[in-house]
Amino acid sequence: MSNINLCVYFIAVFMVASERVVSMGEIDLVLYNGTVLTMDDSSAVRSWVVVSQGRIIDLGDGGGYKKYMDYANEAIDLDGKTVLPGFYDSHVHLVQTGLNMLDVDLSGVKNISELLALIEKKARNMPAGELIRGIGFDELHLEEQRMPTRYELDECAPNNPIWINRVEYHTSVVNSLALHQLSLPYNLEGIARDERNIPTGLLTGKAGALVRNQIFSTIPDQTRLKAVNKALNRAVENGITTLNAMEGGFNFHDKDAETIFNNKEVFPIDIVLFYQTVNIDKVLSKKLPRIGGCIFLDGSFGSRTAALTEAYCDDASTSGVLFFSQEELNEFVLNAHTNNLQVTVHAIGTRAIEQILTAYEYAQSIYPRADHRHRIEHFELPLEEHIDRAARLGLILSMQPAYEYFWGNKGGMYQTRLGPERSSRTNPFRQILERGIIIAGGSDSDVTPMNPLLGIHTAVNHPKAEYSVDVMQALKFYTINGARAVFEERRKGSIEAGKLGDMVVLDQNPLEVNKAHIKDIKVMATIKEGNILFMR
Amino acid sequence: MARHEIYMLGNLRILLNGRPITDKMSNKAAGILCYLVFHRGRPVSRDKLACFFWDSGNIEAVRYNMRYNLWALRKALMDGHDGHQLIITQKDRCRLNLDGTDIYVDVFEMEDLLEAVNQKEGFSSLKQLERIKGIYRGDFLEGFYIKNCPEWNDWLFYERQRFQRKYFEVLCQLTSIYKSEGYYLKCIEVLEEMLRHNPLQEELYVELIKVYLELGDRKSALNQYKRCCSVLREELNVGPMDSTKRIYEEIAKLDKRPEGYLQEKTQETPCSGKAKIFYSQGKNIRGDVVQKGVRGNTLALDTRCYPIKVSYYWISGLIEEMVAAVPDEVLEEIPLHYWADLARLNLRVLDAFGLASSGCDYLSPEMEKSRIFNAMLRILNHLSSKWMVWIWVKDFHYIDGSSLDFLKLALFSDENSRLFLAVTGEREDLRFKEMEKYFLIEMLDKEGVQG
Repeated sequence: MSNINLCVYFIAVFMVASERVVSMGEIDLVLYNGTVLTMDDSSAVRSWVVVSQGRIIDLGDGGGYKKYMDYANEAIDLDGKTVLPGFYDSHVHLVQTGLNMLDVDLSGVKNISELLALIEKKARNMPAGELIRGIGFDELHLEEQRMPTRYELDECAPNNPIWINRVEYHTSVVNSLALHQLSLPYNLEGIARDERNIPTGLLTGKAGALVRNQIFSTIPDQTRLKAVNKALNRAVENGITTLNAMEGGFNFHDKDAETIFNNKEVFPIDIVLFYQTVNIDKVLSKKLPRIGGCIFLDGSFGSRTAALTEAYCDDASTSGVLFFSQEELNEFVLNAHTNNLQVTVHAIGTRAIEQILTAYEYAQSIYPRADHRHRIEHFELPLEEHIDRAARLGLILSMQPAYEYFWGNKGGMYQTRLGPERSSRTNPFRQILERGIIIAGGSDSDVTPMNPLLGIHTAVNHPKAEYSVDVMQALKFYTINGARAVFEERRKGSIEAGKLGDMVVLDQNPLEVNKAHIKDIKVMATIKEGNILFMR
Repeated sequence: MARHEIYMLGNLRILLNGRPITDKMSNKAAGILCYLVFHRGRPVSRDKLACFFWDSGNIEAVRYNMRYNLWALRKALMDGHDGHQLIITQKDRCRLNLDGTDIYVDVFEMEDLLEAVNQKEGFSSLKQLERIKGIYRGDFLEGFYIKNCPEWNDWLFYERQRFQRKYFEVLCQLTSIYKSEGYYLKCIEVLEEMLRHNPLQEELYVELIKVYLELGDRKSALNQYKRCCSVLREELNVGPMDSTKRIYEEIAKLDKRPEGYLQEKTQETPCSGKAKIFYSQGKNIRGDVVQKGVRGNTLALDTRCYPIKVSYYWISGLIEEMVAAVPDEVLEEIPLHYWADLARLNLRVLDAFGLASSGCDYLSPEMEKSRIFNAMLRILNHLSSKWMVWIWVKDFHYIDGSSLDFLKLALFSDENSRLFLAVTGEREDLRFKEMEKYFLIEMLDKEGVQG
């Protein structure tokens, strides 16, 4: 059957369906009198849309919606507001975002006393014995320029184990109760000791990793679920109806992934799990169609661990690190690729991007696959040549425009770490689109907030104007491209008859508002399969 | 049983005449007791004790608390009731009176054993090392935390590290002895124990790989490499060291040419080139073997397999046959603990050796398998040092999976090259094909089966 015939067939089916539901009075929702940006292939704009049994059954201009009004459970006069497909956030560490929302945020403390006061306050509201986790701590921002001691932490919360994390999670400090409860092998590298050979509570390297793992393995599933629901509320408030959850593996915990996997049916929005592991059997046994996420090929610019070709501008002693050898990566990618999995990994710096492109080329040369939709997460500092190779490979680039909002401005982190030349080449969205590559937009929450409108704003208002994209292109990052990035474009990502009734209502039209104010647009409602999850 | 028993390795347990009394005293009283015990009768300053457990800001309050806790401690211990005073308090000092005291303390035993081990070498210290492994139930005063007592906690962390370090040294010594003496399965058990404490220690995986290779079990060796890679990647986001990778590459090369590898392995044994499995089409395999010329000093063990899927069922039958067919004086030459391990499978072993039925300690399935296989190997090797051992296995195609694994291991590690199988059954069955991957199977009607 030709494509045109198929279209005619589907339209006919939905016309019949719409007649049937109308007669049965099963209309979930009618949105009318608005601006419906469908994000379909022709970028059509409509004024109303009708949802029945979770799916869009009709949309159009003028008064065509009126025939549904008598049968609708809910009808909303949009009063000129704008409707878009429900947003995708293509890169979220959902469980950790939620857990961090339950933790003590120490990113703003200016001295040790402030830190201790925050912990003490938290302890007052917690049952004795429950672990207090502190996150976002950076002693370089403190007057004392040091970590708190085990003894100081003992005094402010004697009845609770405490675990304070540095901002990059590689260094932590615990109080005596936590140290006591941890089963530490004391021959492990990374346990700091004083001159009496007694552990100070400061943990780095292998000890830090082991403790992190132990602590995350003791967090009950209920706490994880509570955390996820808290994070999902935030997502829904920002118009997100589908997100890609990057869970498990190094720096995280496999129980995070298991929580998402075991509860995926109960969450209010769709969560696509990316299991961050190199263990192919693990994902195959769960019948997951994809593997990876933040499998760290390198680190980050903030911690000077993203792999560059030359040294960091503000620390000539390092050019970052690669965590895989090319052989190891080739083997993993080939194995996943030949098992027909969608693959994605974290690659920020130029050397890491080079490495993953090489691995994908290697896999394709041995076992050519069409429409694999392999991805690269972040892709922050590619060379021109890398963009060409990504295009030839048919990759999807999962990028986080809001990085530029926080780090890309003059004097920002990119410039400090990378210097003027390299920082002028970060996140070249327009050049990537010009090669025909699909960009899926994400937040990397909680590195940046789950706020697609902020991402759209930044992609349009890129600090390097030559890399900026137009509003329609930026909207696609978080709608139809997000759907394509997880093989869901036939069900979601645009407002078309037959697709799920996932939509977001905005108070202003991003195509018409002054582009400098896109980030100020408000989400008025979030709709999942015709159900209103959030309304302002 | 001593009047007082104090266990500080693992969770604190204080027993009086066998009855637990830990809950009858406060944490601080228990802490005072532990500290005094630890000093083995040497006096401890009351001020020092006070500093450990109370804020010294209010001297009178501290003194009162000390007096009260010492009194409560004596009461719980029923100190002096037998006419002997355990805790001696003076104006400025306290101590434990160990003279003539009927007391058992696990850390004393551990330290005494360590001292004894230091005066011995290698295999001769095995029993002491195994005893230390047995009494180390967990870290020093595990789970015993007293809040607002920084000096006490520092002391505890220091001693906990010290005991743990000694324990790890003991485990290292044990692996070294087990490996050198060929107790590979025990060696694996200890290495696994060490990995439970520290899963990030790559050297332990390397040791496991080497031990499995010694056992001729390449599959398990490769699995250990994969396990090592997986743990390192997921916990530390690193790959294994180059030296570890080289070991893997060597095994992988062998894996690509299994027959060649097995030839290499068998060339090391005296029975190179000889078949170890003989197939008989008839039911009277004993007659077939005798007819075909097996002579001399032979022990024949007659077993049968049945179409039931019960793990170790065939091994259990073999145990019964051994007990019945082997003279008692030879069976008694084998250390009892091997028979105790086999009693897990067949309770008749208890009767045969007068072993008490104490109930088996819980083991993981892997560990249980390891113990049973180890015991069977030791016994078969002992028997084959005296006789050429022929095991008749009727209806081999029914043999259970665990028993099949054991047979492979037994034939691989046949120290004396005097172990042979004579089998009947459906020749096309997968179990035959599995054995054929590793061993030559000859027809019993061929010439040349010699004793």
